Amino acid sequence: MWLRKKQEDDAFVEQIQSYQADLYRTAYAFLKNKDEALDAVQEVIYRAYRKRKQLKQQKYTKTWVIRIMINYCQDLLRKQKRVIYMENVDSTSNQANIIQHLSLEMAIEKLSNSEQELIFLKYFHGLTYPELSEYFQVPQGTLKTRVHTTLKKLRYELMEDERGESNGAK
Amino acid sequence: MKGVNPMGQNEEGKLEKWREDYQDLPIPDQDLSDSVRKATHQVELRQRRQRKSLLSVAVVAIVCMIFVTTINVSPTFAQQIGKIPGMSHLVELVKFNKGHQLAIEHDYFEEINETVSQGDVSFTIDGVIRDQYGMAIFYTVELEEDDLFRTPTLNEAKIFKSDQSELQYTSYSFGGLNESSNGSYSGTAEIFTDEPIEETEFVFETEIRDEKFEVPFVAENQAEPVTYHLQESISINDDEMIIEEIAITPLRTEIIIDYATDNDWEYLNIEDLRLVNEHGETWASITNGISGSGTTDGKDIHYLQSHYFDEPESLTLEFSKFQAVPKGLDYLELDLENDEILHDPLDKFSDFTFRNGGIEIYLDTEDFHYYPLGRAYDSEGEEIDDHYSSSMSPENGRSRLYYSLNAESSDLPITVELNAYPHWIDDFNQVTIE
Repeated sequence: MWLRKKQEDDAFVEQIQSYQADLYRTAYAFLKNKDEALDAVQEVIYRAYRKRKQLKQQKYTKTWVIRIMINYCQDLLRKQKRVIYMENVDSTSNQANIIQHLSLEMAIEKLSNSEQELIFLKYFHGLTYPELSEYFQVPQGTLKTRVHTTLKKLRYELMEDERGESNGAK
Repeated sequence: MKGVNPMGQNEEGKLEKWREDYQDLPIPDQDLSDSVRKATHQVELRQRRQRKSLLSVAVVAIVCMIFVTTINVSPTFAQQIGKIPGMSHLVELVKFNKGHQLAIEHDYFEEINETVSQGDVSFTIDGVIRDQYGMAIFYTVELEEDDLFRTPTLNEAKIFKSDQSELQYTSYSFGGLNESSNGSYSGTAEIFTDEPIEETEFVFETEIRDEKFEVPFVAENQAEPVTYHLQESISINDDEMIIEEIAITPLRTEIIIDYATDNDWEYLNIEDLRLVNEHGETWASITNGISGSGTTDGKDIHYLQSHYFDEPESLTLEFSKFQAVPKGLDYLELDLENDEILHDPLDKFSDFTFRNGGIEIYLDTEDFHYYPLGRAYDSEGEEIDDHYSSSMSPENGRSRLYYSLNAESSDLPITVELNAYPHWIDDFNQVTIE
């Protein structure tokens, strides 16, 4: 009995482990710092493990653990209310590309926690409407409206941003 | 930095590019493996700690009675609650708890009114009643109306002390959330510790819809427990029990009882244990919820309500109705493969089936308000600890019990401890306390 339970637990850890890169990317998008992102992965795996009985079905594991990560990062940022320090960026690496997205990310940061979550699940992790609808038990129409409203808010924030730097790029 | 924003793209296009660029983010594989290893190590440590703490409490008895009583809220209580602005919803929460009502009447309710909001949810601690060994925390959850999801529930509530360590409690219970007005839900959490709580500053941490809420609050204990050391021996036929100690705090009354080792019967519960005042009126009796637990040295602790603030001139402990089974036979043995009951001390159970990761069994009475089934063990004596839900409901004069169990029929016979049993010994006893 005890042995079988141990095996199940190991299988759970193994499954979560297979999402470690997704978790790291999500954490990095929020925290912009390798060490903090690594710490976040550690903490989130620990939390996921503790809460594993709340997970209803195995097929939702990935979405579920990513949501834990999003919440963890939001929580951390809210507590710290901090300035994000970019690491030294090697301009030949892909990190340079990511910097291009700063204004987009700043606009995302202005959204509410649940709107941010929706954007991350839908766009960053590419979940489809049927998948989101099944996970949240909410009709697709409701989700579409919600995404639409969120995108509108995002556009508004981005426009604000561009107005702010009227002599900016292009 | 090249702050070039590709113009002319819609938001979806920008988000798509954002995702693609992150796909190419260098992944520090080695470091990530280290993080995962550290996390699993933390998990293992935690499991070891939990195993240890589970061993310290032997048995827990849970009572569920439906009280059909009219609600008499005293004028003093109504007046006191009127003094605290915005607290009228508390009436609903304390109507079944005379002890809480008395505490509020005696101005022993510490108003907190501390709110934390996260997105669409706000969580407020309205107030606390605390004593040396416990706290009753009254809280309210409020939701924005355009909410996408369902009725809120509190997950993983914890209390941290000012040094950020978690308050270790021996029992913890919370009532469900009552919707007190549109989008506003109230509830109470009660925790008890076995060591005196010295601190006065706490942080209540909970999760509602995956959002974490941390609410700091200050609560002082201003009421010393009243303790009576009795060591009073009682005989029940040929058996002996010793009433060792009674301790009364604002939140509850604890009665410690020890039993002689050579008794013929195992006493599972005392159903009518009560304290009676000088007028012969019941001063405190058993409440819904956790009514007793065991200590590691084989003693029983019974919990009654507390009427701490209603000071009696005299108190007498009275009891007469014992749930008992022959000593050493307080368990069920079940054959999961053939759906057969192999042992039942006095044949009160029948119609046993094992299916879908749970056992279903019937008790021959529907008028029994204690949940009989305790911990389950496999044939090797290893606890089957994946038990997560139990239920008991009346059905044509019997009670149908369900108990989820992550066992397989090949696990050979399993044993289930009995925490309660519908067989009684009647013997009236009185112990004068003061």
